Amino acid sequence: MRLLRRVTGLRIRLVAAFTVVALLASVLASGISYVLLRRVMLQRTQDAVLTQIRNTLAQQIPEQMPPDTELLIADQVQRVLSAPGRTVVAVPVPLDGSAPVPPPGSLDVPVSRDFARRATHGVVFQRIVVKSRPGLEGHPYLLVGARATGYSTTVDEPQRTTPPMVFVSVSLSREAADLRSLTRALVVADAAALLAALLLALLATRGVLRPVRRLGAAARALGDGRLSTRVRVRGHDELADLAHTYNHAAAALERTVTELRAMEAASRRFVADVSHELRTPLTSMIAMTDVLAEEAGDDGGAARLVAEETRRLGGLVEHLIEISRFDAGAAALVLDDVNVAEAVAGTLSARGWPGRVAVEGPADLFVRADPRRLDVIVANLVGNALKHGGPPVTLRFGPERRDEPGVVVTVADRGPGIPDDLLGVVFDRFVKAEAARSRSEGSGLGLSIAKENAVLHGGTLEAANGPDGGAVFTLWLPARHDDEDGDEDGGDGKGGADGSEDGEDA
Amino acid sequence: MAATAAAVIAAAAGCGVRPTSVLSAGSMPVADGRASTITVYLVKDRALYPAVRPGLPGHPYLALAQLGVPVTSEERRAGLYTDVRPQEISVTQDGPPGTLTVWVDDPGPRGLRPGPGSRWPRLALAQVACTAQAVPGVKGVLLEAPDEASGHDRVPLDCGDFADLR
Repeated sequence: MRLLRRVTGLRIRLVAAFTVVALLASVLASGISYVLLRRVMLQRTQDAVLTQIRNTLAQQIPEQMPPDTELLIADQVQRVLSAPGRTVVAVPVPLDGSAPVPPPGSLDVPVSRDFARRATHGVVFQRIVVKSRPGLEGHPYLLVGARATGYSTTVDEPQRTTPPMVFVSVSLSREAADLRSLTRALVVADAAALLAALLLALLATRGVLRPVRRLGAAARALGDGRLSTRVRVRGHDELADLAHTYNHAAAALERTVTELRAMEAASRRFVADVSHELRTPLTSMIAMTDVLAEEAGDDGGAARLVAEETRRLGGLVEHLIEISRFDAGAAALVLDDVNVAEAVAGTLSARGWPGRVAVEGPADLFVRADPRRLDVIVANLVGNALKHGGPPVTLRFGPERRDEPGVVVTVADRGPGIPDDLLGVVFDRFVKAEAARSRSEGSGLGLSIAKENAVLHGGTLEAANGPDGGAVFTLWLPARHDDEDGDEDGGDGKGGADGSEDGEDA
Repeated sequence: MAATAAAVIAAAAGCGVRPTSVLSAGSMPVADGRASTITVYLVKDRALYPAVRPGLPGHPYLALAQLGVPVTSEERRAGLYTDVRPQEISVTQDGPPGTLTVWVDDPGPRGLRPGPGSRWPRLALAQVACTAQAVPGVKGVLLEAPDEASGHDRVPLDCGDFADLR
């Protein structure tokens, strides 16, 4: 995947496009120059040979020939035209109009009948590349055929006074060698151009892509939460504009996030402060109303109501303080090896529930947990099931391995279950199953606190509906806690002890 | 990339000298060899007769070589003939200035001496001598032929000796 991104990356594509264009241009240029040079070179050679043959024939053949001098003329023409790499042959022209073909082997290349036929009507030439002669494969030759005109013969003895026609084969191996060296030079030049294009492309793309990379890195840093990240703006091009825009956006984002955080912190602090401020007077009020209710005796219905409501208010404030601790990150674990069976039994008996809940699980199961927080979780789940679900309420626990060894505690009831639209938000604060029940007995924070406690242990707490109906809450805690050294802070012992009483939600 | 590869392959395939079909390079050259006419002494009515034939460029002694070919039909119609038997006659100039050596390859059984049965009658020798001396700058002729006995049969000739045959 990474490799694929590299291959199809912007840099590779830019470099490839640049290089292909450069290569195409240089190959095209060298191809055109090659073709032009070759044409000029061959044209020059051909013209020289043709002109020499034409002139020789014109000069060596008289308007009227003495009888039986054909061999003399042939010798003379051959002598004049002979040169290295050339073979010349002069053959008599048959008077029946057929084409004279020189004897095989007299020239370096064979003369076709068509060539000979056309040579009797004008000067013709043909470039031939030898294919079949051993040792000469690929050798190019220029074949020229010509005869003179404008002479007069005697009427009754034309064969004695007809000049011969000539065939000349000229080796073009020198031209071929020149072309080969030209090809080599062009290939070297093209390779150099390719290399230069590659280097230039690399340099250019680096210049273009460096700001893009910097922007990408800055955007990643921003995404990771480093809101103070800025990029340096250089130049006045589009990329600089983009960097400028990015910096603006980052600054605005940082400002907004800072404000939001400050506001959130302020509101949390406010809740915590209010809760703390309420706690002291409420404690006194609870004590006082209890006394008032006792003194009123059987007639103190109103006093008992006030005492009850005041106690509920106290519970709510304790929950608020607990939640504020989680929000402030001040919640700490006091870990211990806890026997799950004993802990569950203790929780149930402390609240007077043993007869109402069926407990199943091994007696010797231990978990590394904060006993007070485990008590809070179990009390909240069981209390919730007793208050809102239907009997029978069952509590099962046992070992369960997820990513690591752990302990699972399941609390199930046979009530109506959790409505589907609430399954996802059942652990949110102040979520209640019956919206109309505005004045409920619970604080609406019990399940939230249970969930926060489970997460604090590194575990999970999930809500679902059982196959037979009824809500099923599943708590999973790792058997061994990661940071065994833990926090020795036992400061929140008090808040949890009270908050455990009423877990009610959903 | 594919286009580049195709271009490279095409360029490589089109390298070097390419063969062509048969191409025309214009009309035929017009024969325009300049040479003065030559005088060949033939025989008419048992006497020497100077016949004029076209010359060849670069062949000043062509007239002597022409003695070795049969007369043309036109000359025959005019009653001309030659006493020199058809043979190859070559000319060298290795003697003193103005003297040509004429080589013939058919001396006959009696050599180059005229007489009964000889292949070189007086008229033939006169033809050689006078034809040679008709060439500008030539003053004398040495007629040579291979001879079985002596290796070379050699006869100096002068056209003036044959004044009775003209």
